[in-house]
Amino acid sequence: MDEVTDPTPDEPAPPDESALTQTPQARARTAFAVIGQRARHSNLLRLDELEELASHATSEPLSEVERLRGHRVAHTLLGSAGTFGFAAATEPARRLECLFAEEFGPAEAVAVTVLLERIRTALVAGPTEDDD
Amino acid sequence: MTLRRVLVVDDDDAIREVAQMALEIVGGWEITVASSGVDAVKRAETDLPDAILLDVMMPGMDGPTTFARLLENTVTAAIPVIFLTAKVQAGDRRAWTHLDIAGVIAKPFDPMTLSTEVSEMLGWTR
Repeated sequence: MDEVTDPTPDEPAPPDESALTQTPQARARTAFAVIGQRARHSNLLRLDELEELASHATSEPLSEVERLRGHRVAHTLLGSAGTFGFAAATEPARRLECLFAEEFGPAEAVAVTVLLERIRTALVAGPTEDDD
Repeated sequence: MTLRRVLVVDDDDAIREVAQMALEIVGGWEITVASSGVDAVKRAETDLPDAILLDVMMPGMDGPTTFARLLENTVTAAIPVIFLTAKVQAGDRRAWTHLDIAGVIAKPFDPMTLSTEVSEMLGWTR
């Protein structure tokens, strides 16, 4: 039987000609899109974390440790979603951060559910192009 | 064009990476990164960057505390620091007025114009 070998075990991949001829701006946009996909995944996980925290507050307020954790996650979500072009997520994320900034009880848990859904919809829809 | 060296500090991997790419590819600068305030203080002392982009809200040592540590060290005290933060409410900005920072860049930010914003804040010619 013929020996099966890896056809190109250590051979470097040929240079991507299109990448070499791209402008820095075009190369940057390509790189940002790739990072943005990873950021979207991270932000969806952050929504899950916030949803779980909110579920703890349906009958009594969150502990201070939980509230601070929620505040930090919401803050990170706010900075990330907008930077990667998920414009529709920015405003609900800002309101989310405000809700976790003070005592977080059953009323806040209800409000958060609506905001989380809006952010999730924006993330699933994908980044939007700038108008300018 | 002068080759600038900038240290980017943020605990969010994606933000750190996009800022690094933006400043390297669009700005043409040399970028080093740190994911925490403690790491930033060490890197600043060894790398001596021309400027530091510093996230405000980080676990452990936050941005203002990191900035204070940098000021305490004569080696890093003169490095200009720009806060990179989603905390841009008026109250937050007031809390930073006594700090001798070079500026504040709000998150979300536009990666395509980040190097221009930094240059303008620091009076760097491109």
